[in-house]
Amino acid sequence: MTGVPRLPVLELRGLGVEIDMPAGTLRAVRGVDISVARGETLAIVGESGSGKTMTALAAMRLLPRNARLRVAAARLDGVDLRKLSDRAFADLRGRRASMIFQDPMTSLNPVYTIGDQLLEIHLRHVRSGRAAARDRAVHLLDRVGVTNARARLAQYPHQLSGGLRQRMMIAMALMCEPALLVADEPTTALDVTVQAQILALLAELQAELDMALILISHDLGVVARIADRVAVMYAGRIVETGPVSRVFAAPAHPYTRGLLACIPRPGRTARGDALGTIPGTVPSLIGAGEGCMFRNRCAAAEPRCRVEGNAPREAAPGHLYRCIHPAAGTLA
Amino acid sequence: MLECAGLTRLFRVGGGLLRSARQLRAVDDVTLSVRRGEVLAVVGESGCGKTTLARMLLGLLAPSRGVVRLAGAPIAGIGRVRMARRVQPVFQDPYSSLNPRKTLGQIVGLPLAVHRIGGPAQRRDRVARMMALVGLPAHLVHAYPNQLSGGQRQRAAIARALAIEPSVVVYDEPTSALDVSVQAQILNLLQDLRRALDLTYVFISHDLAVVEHIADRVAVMYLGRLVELGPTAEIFARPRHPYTETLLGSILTPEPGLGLPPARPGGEFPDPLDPPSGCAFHPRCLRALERCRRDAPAPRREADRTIECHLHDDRNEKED
Repeated sequence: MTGVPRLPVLELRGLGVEIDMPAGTLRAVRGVDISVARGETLAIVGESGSGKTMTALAAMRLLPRNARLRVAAARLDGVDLRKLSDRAFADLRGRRASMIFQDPMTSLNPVYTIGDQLLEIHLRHVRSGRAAARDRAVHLLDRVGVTNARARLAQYPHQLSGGLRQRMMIAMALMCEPALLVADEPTTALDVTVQAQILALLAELQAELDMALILISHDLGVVARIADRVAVMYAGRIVETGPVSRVFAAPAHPYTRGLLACIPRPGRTARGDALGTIPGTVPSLIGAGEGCMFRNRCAAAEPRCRVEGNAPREAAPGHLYRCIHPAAGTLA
Repeated sequence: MLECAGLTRLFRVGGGLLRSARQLRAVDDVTLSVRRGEVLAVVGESGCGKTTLARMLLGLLAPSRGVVRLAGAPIAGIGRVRMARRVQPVFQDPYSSLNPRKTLGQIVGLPLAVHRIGGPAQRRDRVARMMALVGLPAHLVHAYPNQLSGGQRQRAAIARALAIEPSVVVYDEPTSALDVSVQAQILNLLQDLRRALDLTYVFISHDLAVVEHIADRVAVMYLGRLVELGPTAEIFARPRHPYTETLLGSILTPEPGLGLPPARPGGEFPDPLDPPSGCAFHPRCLRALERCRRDAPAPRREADRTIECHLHDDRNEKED
């Protein structure tokens, strides 16, 4: 990222997601702020239960029925999302903002052909007729590297490999040239060699279409290689955010440091050595959750972490973290 | 310790009233040996046959051809129960591999009961020791699997495998369903256990960073064939098979600034029911020769390495 910061395509402030459970209210997302500009890739990383997928679903207004959404400010392309009815929002989805999911098999309809599913979006939003939609579909399938595009339109999802299905999903998401693409673990179900291809494709298309990309991932390797900025989530909060190069080289939050130390890195961790670990488990997300949610697993925790620890601090310009301890130095 | 020679497994696929069945060569002529006390990793992408190989090494699946030997004796003659005492599996998904209606104590103790080891008191004692060994708190002995986290379930599966003191453990993707922080805990545990109990591991995985970290030797599989085998450090420093190179090039370590590896053409995995002629990797290989299309390469064994690639045949070596 260089030059003057551009206006964000998506901006969310104070995002919260709550789900009523028999034991109390589960607060899956607890005051998350997100903004992403055209041409920029923001990665949201975290482990299961961190709230990263809920954040993405909330941004697309695709939350499960039993979840309550709270948001202080929400704008997409300058439109105030809070004022939109569900129907008006559905008109934006697929046109201005699209989402792709981890498992392309369950997000494609098995009883419709690929052509039906690709064309539907275009017919619904662009309304320029079947022939135009078909041309667009063939063009995009070509572009995402699906060979024999015209013939593929008549195929059903089960006739494609996992990599092809994910390419299909990407083509589908791009039918209307959205300003924002949200990709939830787009390569997690794929083999490593296919993963590298799909990520390269996403990065290329993003630059070509000047899209804002939000990548949800648990894989720090994927994030390091494709994102401009990263937001690390833990127990419903963004505990650290900033440029990827900064956050990975000089992580300020103990959780980020712990996460990076857990990963075997050929050439950096010696074979047979113990990997770093984060002791303990994620706390319950039911209830208010005062103070720092990471304190029960943190070696540096002290009594005031019970009440403080959520105010963002600046480690460097644009690099924020939520911890009462001063940002420790660079990790080797 | 555990070895196989010419191991092949065919599956009949499809077939019905009007269509004839087709043959899938899931594992094709694999010869390798697992040395006592080592960690041998088997890597490859989905459909490469690594899980089928694991099941044959465990004696859970009969080979179509070839033989598996344990300490020199063909396992076909050893019998399932005696085999199970010496070679134990740990599977990928700790959610489906534990009986949801049994307590942890019952789950870990079941192999002891099956193999009639000790009396009830001794078994209880052994279960408690196994749980402590894998880092499960003692009070969980009465817990059911659904009350445990993913990491705890995998610890339980490991405790169950180790309860009857096997000498070889075959792990099939033991950490791929786990979060990275939990994965690190389990990998550390596996290393500690191996040293403490003098175990031999076969470690099936698609995660090359994990394999680099834990394995002594690596076997790379592609479409049922063993294409390269050698010491981990050598394979990672100097991969010789183009497929191994491709695999290693796809590892994404968290180093920002490196960007993505260069995209490789023709990256799709071929249809295993209709494998390419000659060398199965040739359609994806950037250095394929004319004869790679025609002839299947034979394995070439050197001191510590096996490689199956025409580029490393004697007569092509000079052109390289």
